[in-house]
Amino acid sequence: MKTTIVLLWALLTAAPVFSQQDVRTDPQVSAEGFKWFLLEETELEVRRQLGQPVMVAEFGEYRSWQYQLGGVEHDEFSHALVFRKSDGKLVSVSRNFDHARNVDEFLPEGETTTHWFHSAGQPDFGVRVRKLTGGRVLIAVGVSQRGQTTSQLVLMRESELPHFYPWLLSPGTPDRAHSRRPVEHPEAGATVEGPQNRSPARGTQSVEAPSPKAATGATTHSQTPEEN
Amino acid sequence: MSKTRRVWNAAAAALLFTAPLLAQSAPSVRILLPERTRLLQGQLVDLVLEVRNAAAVSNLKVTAGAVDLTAKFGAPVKADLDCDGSSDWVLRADLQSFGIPGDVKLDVAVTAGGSSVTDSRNVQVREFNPPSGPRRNIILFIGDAMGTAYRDAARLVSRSIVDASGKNSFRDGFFDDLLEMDKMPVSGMSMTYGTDSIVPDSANTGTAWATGNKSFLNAVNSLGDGTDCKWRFNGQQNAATLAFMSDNPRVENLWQYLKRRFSYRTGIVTTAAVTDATPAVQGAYIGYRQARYDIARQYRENPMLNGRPAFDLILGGGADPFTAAGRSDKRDLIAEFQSLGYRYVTTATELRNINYGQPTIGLFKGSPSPAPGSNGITTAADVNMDVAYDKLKLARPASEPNAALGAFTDQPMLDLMTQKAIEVLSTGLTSPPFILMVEGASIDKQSHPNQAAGTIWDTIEFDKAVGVARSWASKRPARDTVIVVTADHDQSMSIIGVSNTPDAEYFNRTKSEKVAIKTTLGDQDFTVYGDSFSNNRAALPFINTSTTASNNGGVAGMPGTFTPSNPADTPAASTYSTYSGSPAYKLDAATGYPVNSGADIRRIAVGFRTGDHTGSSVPVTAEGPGAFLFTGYMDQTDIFFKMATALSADTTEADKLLDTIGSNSYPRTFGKK
Repeated sequence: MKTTIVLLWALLTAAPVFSQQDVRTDPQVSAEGFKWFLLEETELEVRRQLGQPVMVAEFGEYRSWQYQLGGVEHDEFSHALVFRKSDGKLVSVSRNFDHARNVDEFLPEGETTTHWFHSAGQPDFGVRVRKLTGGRVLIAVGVSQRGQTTSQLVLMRESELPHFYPWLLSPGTPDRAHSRRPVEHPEAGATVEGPQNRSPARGTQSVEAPSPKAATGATTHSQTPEEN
Repeated sequence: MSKTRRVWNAAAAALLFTAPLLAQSAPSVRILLPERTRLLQGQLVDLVLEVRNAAAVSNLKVTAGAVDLTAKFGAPVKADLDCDGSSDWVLRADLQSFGIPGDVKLDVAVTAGGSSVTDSRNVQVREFNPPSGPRRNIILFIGDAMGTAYRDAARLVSRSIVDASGKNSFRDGFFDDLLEMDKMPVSGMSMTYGTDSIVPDSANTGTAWATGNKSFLNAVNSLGDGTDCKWRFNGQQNAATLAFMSDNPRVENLWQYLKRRFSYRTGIVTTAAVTDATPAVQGAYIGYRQARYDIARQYRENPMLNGRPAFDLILGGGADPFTAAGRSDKRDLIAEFQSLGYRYVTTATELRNINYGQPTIGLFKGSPSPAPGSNGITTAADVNMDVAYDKLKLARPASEPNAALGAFTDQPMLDLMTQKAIEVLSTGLTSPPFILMVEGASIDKQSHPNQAAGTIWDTIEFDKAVGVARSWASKRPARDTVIVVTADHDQSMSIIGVSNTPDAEYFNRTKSEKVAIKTTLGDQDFTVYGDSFSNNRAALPFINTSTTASNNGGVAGMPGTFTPSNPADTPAASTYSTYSGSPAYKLDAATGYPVNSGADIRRIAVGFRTGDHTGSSVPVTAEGPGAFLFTGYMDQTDIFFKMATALSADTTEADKLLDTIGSNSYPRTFGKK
């Protein structure tokens, strides 16, 4: 029970990363109040929470809803939600902050791994990843250690990583996820076993390049925060 | 039903249900050019083919009319197009061009997964042969978001000046003097739609007039492709997805085209960060406008120019992505420019002192402490120059952010930047022709937060810059400079009358009322500020607050209920009249700009419907040789081809006709001196 309460508290306090809860507000004033996404929300539930998206785009098997909520630059979207068309499942929520913020509280040590994206001629690019219940991963983009700030957080179904972040799922790397304890599902109030069969990438290997012109020779490896 | 029939029915049903699947998985090839592709002869473009749903690709054949282009293509590269996990391929022939004007049919045939698949495009290739004698210059002015209401507002504010005797320069509905851009002899309208939206942004509209081809929101001189799903729709633009923003087919813009082929000098002047979307379309090629590191890098080493710099002159804000401290790759692009002979200036004072044609980069604002952004593709901050209203130190309402010039107190006004840009570009040792873009950026940037004075004063500043160019061009010994003034897209401001709001209330934005609108479709709360009471008709969503029958009942006619927190203070009860009277401003002789406070000021009243871009067409005005080309309703991509034609075609007879029409023999608008 104690674990349940602690984890429920953690999830609720973690909520600000994703979306404002109350859209009944002056559009010129930053919205207050936030909501945590489980990636189980239906389109109708999202629409009720966030209202109509500013933009809807369809691509391949996906549909994207993009929002401008709170204090964001006019040409940027604060939230991008991607649904799979075939089953209507919400597969990812991206939260772009106008001003970078520290999100360490959502990425506790011991549950978070750091990955590096290498691109020829470019500085290494780090992301911190935490596996969540329900086959979800939380990705803090552009941070490699505690104390840094990010302008981009991504909550994504782990099953979608091969399409969007394949270098986070490269095989043959140590599975640090096994060290995680089961976590609680706050809405259901039940303990849900965390994912155990996927691991963050480790080591150096090729990553898909889109074309000869854009080929980056990108490689990736991962490490835990302790290795930094 | 017989057994045979049942079998056939079952087979038919199976086919019916599997047909979409089969269709989806069938191999295909697509040429990544729009259906209506237009290019100048010799204009560079990436020819990219996408093959979907094929285990292997072979037997490629690409022809352009009778010319076989197959050998231009590299080997097929495996790709995950559409993020669907299918086996796809990309084949590229980068930076190709068509040398002979006319309609070219591009045919592609390829064996994909054992099947022969084809695609074709018709490409219109337009002639471009500049005259052998002295060449023409072109100056393109872009008022960002400067739709008709913005031009009208700038005119009403800057040309309704009451002098010491009490005489208003706007009387009885006529102006003594119109805006500089009003005085240009030719006008037209430009439709600004993008490939994916009727409401565009500065990137894809810029792509239209810079390259002659349309594209999608955020695209800088790049066309859509199958790997856009990796970043474009899911909000995950960062260093790990940068490669997928960089692989879009590129179309050469007019700036690089003229520099590469005809040694034009090139320049950009903007009040935004110089890597913002509007200036970026003159010098960069990428799918995502916010990839500022790469845009700045391409200014230094342009892909269309074999790595040479894109510009001879860059003036604006946004120093950060040019500094080592602001870039994650730690390249010092300013030092690199300087090592190539560029002069670097950072203040208006320094800018005033330059007077010859040395290549110049002037960055007049940046962060006090530039730092890389966490997404790995841009800086922590994009710092635009301060707006005219703030550079002039005019008072803002309390609720609007005060000017924060910080250490950047000596920023030039846009007219000075334009004057110096023309001097630099036109005074090379060999007097080369030049092409220059001048942007009034914060017409848009101030309109987004509905800061009316900020956007109007920036439009006035922009018009003064147009005046500088007109004056310079008029003094040239030969009529050799085309000036075009337009906007990239419109914004939602509308002029709704005149407000007699006194300073005390105009500058007191703490006076406000909260309005709740409850409907069956959802609830919204809005705050209406004191200084915008007269604007309420436009400020409130969904409704017109007028209760007249002709307005469909106004508040009463809307679905749901309308509940101001203080019924005595409702917009409908406002005593301000927006339908009568004329504006009256006073001029600050020291700055040449109107002031916005003091006794006897009557301000125009404006409303903002959304605080965002709109899909309305925008005005175009033109002057100089070939100006007549810019008349009528046109697509925004036409501006590219009209500019090219104005530079290359013999327009003598039409120019004479235009002079005749502008003479006193024909009716002339008052104030159009």
